[in-house]
Amino acid sequence: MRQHLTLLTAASVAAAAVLATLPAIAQNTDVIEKRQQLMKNNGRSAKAASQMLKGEVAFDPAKGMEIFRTIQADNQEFRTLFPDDSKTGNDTEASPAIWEKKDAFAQANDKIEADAAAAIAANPQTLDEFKVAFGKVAANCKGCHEQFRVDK
Amino acid sequence: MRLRTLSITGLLLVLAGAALFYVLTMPQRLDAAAIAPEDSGDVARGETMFWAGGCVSCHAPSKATGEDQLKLGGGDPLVTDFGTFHAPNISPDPTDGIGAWSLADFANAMQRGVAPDGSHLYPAFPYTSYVKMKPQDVADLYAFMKTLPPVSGKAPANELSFPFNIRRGLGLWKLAFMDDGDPIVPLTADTKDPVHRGRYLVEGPGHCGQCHSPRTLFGAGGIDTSRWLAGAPNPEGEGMIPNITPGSKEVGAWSADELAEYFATGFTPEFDSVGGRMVDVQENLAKLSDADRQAIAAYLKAVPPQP
Ligand code: HEC
Ligand code: HEC
Ligand code: HEC
Repeated sequence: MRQHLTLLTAASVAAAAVLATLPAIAQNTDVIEKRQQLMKNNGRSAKAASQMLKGEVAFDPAKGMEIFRTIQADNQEFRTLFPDDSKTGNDTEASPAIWEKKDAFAQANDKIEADAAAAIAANPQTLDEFKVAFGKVAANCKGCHEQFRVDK
Repeated sequence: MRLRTLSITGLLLVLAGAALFYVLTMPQRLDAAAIAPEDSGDVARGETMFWAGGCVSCHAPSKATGEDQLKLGGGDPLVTDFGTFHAPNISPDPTDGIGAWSLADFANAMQRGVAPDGSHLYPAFPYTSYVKMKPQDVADLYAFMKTLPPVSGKAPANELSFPFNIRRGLGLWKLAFMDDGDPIVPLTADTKDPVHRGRYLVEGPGHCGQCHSPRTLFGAGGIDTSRWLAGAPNPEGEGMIPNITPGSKEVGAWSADELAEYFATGFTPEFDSVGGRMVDVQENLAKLSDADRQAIAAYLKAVPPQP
């Protein structure tokens, strides 16, 4: 009897251990880390733009264009990084709405890419022109975070 | 005989209970002295109260931008644990909106949660914060709202589950949880002026504590002022609403200027961008003066730190 109990305990401890590691195995944390890194790049782009807008750094049209191109390229990759096994883990702040409302999420991605493309086409040469173009691109940050990101 | 006495006693008890419920749940209106004179409102000052108060966030459709934000025909459904609320039409339309309301009607709704017919309004409408507004500011807001475009059509009725669907019962909730006009965070007379202005904006019209503080009674009670601005579960589902006191791991490290910048642009010091329901709030705060945003920031630096 005693032995049975010990076996049972050992079996349940083992089962619990397997269960505890399962979510970690099942979740695709690499992809989560990758998309978080791309978003950190977005933050860096926004900082560089803001420093020029505030006059902390001299405005340089070439640098402005680089910011728009980076945002565009980063987002093209970002949107591909939401497989079904990446809903939890690595402190992700991705909202379940990304998987529940796939069309709306695709639209939010289309929109920032279109606004970045328009900014590149406008090729702003003065600080005022840059301010308008960047303002339109930056409105997408909170537009998407409002619906598709949760604070944890 | 025995049976008759019993049933009469029973009946009397029920009647006494009903009478007590009736008395306890009677609407408590404002004293006339707490309402500014009917025509004393200043439209320009009222606009500041309008953006500080965030009426657009609930009473206009969420996708509204520009002039459409001023069409207050009713907003998106507010989904909570108690059911779904629909913020009503508060445009100046005389039949579907509040165009026919006097200043006293408006002030009683804003500061007592009492509709003109005496029925109780649900605290999903943050009157437990608006109660801290100055009578003159309520009159200014009333004057500004009269200038907005009338919108026809009523918003749908709330869809709430029992017992939350009994309006009269809200009288009991108010007895237990209705806040008064007194400030939440005590300040001494020598505290600098922007902090006083900030306290007024945050605790009163800005109703920041409605989201950023936890509630008592498993989320159904009043604001837990012992955990003022300490962060809370999101009443509308996923995630947390952050701690915004100096004790917060995140915001605690922001300077007052950085806080004011976040309110103006929506960017954090690390150039992350605002999200969730704070987006609407930030866009309203962006319409205030720099001085008011600085005042809110100064107050947030002065509140007791919460872990
Ligand atoms: C199409 C949607 C979308 C757009 C547009 C968007 N974001 Fe994000 N952002 C997200 C999501 C989703 C997350 C959460 C990712 C996670 O944790 O898995 C996020 C996270 C972030 C983070 C936190 C990264 C971390 O983990 O530390 C920063 C910073 C950020 N975004 C900045 C920006 C900026 C700046 C812009 C505008 C230039 C922007 N975002 C535009 C969806 C978006
Ligand atoms: C957090 C959401 C929210 C905000 C912010 C808000 N309201 Fe409301 N309001 C509501 C809800 C919900 C109701 C309906 C409550 C009910 O059904 O009892 C309401 C009801 C009202 C009523 C009563 C209308 C009637 O027909 O009985 C008035 C007046 C009103 N709000 C004015 C305002 C003003 C002015 C502001 C800005 C200073 C404002 N509200 C901000 C949610 C909100
Ligand atoms: C409708 C609910 C709501 C109201 C009202 C509200 N907030 Fe927020 N607030 C939030 C949410 C949700 C976030 C998290 C935003 C995010 O995910 O980016 C937040 C974030 C913040 C932050 C940044 C915190 C951080 O860690 O990033 C500050 C500062 C802040 N709010 C201040 C205020 C002030 C001041 C007011 C009143 C004028 C206010 N809030 C009113 C919901 C609200």
